[in-house]
Amino acid sequence: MINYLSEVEKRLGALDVDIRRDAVVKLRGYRAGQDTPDVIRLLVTAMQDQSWRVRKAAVEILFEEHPVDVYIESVIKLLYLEDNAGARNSAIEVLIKLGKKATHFLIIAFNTPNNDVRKFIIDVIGEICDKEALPLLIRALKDEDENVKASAVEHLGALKEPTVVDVLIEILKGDDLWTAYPAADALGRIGNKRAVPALIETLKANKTLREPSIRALGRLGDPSALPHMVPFIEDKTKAVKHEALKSTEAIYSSGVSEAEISSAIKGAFGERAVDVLVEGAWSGRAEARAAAIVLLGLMNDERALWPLIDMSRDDDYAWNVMRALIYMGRNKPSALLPLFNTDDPFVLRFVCEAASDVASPEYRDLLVRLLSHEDGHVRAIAATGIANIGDINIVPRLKELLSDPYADVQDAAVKALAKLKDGVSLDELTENMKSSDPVLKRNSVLLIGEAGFIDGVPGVGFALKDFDVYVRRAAVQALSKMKTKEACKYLRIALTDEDPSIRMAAASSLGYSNRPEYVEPLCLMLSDNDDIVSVAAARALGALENRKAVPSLIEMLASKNGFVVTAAIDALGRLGGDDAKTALIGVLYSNDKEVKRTAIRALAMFKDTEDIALKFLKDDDWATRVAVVESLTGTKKEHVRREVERVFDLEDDPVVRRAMESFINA
Amino acid sequence: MRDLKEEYVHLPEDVFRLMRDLICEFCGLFFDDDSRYLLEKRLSRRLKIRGLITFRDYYRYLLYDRNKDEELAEIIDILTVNETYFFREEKQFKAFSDEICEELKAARSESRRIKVWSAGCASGEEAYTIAMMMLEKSASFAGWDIEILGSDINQRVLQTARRGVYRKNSFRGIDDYFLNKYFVKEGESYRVKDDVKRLVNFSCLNLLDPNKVRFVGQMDVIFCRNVLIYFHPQAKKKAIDTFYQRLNDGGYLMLGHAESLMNISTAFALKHLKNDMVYQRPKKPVVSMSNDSLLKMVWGGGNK
Repeated sequence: MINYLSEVEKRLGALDVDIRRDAVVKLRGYRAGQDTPDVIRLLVTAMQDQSWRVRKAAVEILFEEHPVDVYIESVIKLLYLEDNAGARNSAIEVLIKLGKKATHFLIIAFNTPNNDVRKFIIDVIGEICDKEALPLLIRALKDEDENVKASAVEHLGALKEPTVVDVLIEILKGDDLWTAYPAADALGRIGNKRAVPALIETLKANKTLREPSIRALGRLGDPSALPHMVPFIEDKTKAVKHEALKSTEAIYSSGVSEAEISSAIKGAFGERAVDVLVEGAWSGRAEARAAAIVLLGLMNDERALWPLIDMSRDDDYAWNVMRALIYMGRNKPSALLPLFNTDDPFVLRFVCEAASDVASPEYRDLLVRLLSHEDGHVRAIAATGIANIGDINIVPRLKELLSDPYADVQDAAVKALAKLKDGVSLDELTENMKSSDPVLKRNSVLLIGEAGFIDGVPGVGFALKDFDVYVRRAAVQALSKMKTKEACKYLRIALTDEDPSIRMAAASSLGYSNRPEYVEPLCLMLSDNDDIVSVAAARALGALENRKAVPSLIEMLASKNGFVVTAAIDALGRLGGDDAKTALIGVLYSNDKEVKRTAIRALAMFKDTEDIALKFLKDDDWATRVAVVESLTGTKKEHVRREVERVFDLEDDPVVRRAMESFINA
Repeated sequence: MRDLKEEYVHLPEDVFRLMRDLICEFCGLFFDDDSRYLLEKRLSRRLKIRGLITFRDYYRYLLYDRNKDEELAEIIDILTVNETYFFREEKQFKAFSDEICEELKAARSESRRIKVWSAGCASGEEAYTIAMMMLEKSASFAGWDIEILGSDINQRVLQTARRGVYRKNSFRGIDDYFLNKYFVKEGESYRVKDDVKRLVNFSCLNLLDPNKVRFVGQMDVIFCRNVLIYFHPQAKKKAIDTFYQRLNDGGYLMLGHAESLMNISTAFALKHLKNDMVYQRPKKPVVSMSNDSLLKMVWGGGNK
């Protein structure tokens, strides 16, 4: 056997990467025995290889086949190889993956005069987040090497350990900027309010530490910091100014009242408050600008209106501006009135939307006027706003909009009239359905459905015979809202419409009918010429949860279109049963990755399928591995948990690791 | 204000990555992990339009549906910034006009034909700027066949380019001389004159689609400025390789000021012009060889 290992050792020195990697793989299977020291030596040698593939193979074998205490010291020694970054990285990777199992050994290894190694050890311990290492981190705060100290401070924050707050405060107050800066950040991350006075003190005393101190105060969310922090919104240093904006907003988001925030800002800047915030918003990057917009809203000052509108022209800030305007409008509806004095459709759309949410009667006349505006969006939003205010007297005016040339306005009118249902009669709508105007006909049909006029079902059913496809589509939409037995009968007729979008909508609606008599027609729809209809039918059958559909859905698994196959898999997962399970196991080996992933997820709906899923936990495709981990959620089987934990140590992909972490921590 | 929350469909991390990779494969655009929220925010509406409930369904639609390319083009439209203006990075246009055009005039004196491609032209300002530069040199190029192609993957911006009507934002780098000479004022906007339009054709092209790109033929100059910065490194390589294939020997590639071919391609030579540094496809060496020399080269030494 020794000869065999000598051959492996020789091959580890080969020039060809593949030969070296193969040599490493040959070391698989040597479990504890008399050759173990030699095997470990060779694996650790391979961890120093130039090629990451060779190193990765060695790391995997160490992990999977050998107990930690046999190799960890050799791995720690790799940290001393200052000329071999690859070996150091591999060692760090191994140590982090070992997690808490490595802590004890790292504490011992910290007693070295080598500054680099001490720094690496602190970094690894910080990543592991093991509270057992707390004394070591505290000891490292007094290390002779600046980098070791700074790293220790940083990781204490990550540990979120309240017992170290006093130590960090001491560092913050000290003369050493190198450690004081991360100490401020660490205090913010730990989140203990005992740090607030020290951070405020630092804010005043030390210019260099303002940015991290403000950031920490923002994280702590204590309103007592506001009077000290807010004045820095006007600071000359951009980074400080932006941090002050973000942190003030963070304190508001943590639950401090609007009044307290606005009074702190007014206290700092008086009459200039709005100007200062506007200036801060325009000078800031995305997050700072978004924060400034929120703060401008809290000021409840009409002078902020137009600057806010300017900022809303950028899509990324539009929603923040909307929030600010709604807040202002809710406090004082008249505050938004100046924004109605413009012809700019962009501004009018925006203010109508805010007014629509505030829904104050003060906006009624303005919104009615805007129902005649030349911009369709403005008319549509105004209609919605009027409905929200709830004035039934506006109904006749809204009815006119059912024939508006712009579809969005018609839709808004339908919804608005449905809200003001008491002012609308079914007779009138039925009469409209005889109109020669297809637009009025379509919208009357939609309104019957939206308002839930059940007696109108036969009329809507008749509209399914209309020559105009839009009217027929509206009829399906209306019938699907009503869901009565009679409505479903008409929907069944719509399954044979020549327009695929109508067939699709009808199939989807029947899925939510909860009526088993539609299983058969929906099964027939699975072979529709149009894939999107087949997909809708498959989903509908899944929703009906009737196992009669299983054979037809199994047939669908042979489709060439992945969209159809995945829909059928989802449906089979919902329906359950042995036949469905067997069919799903069959598609697990599909060449189409998405089909495989969908089948793994669907099988999770069946009992005792964890071991089937586990077979794919090392699949080449990262998204399949995610599907496996997610499919295992909720299992109580210990061997499944252990297997995920074991594979977690070997997993490289960050998304899969996060999925595994949440599974393990669940 | 805290109670007001914007509602979007949740985009799970794995679906984001799958969609991101799909988009990258389609057109080279790469969205980093920080873009997840952007995709969630901007694409939620597409789900509704397509009658889909989850982003996983939407991913499957993009993967399998027969109209997937159209939907991917919609996505590109929604996700990309198409900010540009006339005479952006003016020094490059000066290099083009004063130096490159002069060189091409000599090199193409026989064919009397010049083809310029504005790849990733967005709303067309760059292509029209090139046309204006060529019109300024009309005396030197009288009777020449000048062809400028503007291409973009985004159909909506191409419509703007074809319309040729621009608002003040597009004119932040332009001299009044050009504005008065080549545009007609229409209310708050300016319309490009037909003389300029005549030189420019627009086309919807995916730079990563080798078959379609072949339609553009051979070019003398390619402008592709501030487009590849959004591309994945592999896609960048592919696009640069395409440009190399599409350029005539000695043709020029103009990238944005902050862009270079470092770690992407060594096929081009970096040329220092008076006004700018540009990339050039090397000219083929002119080889003239007697039959004897040729035989020596093939058979070596004195063998005949």
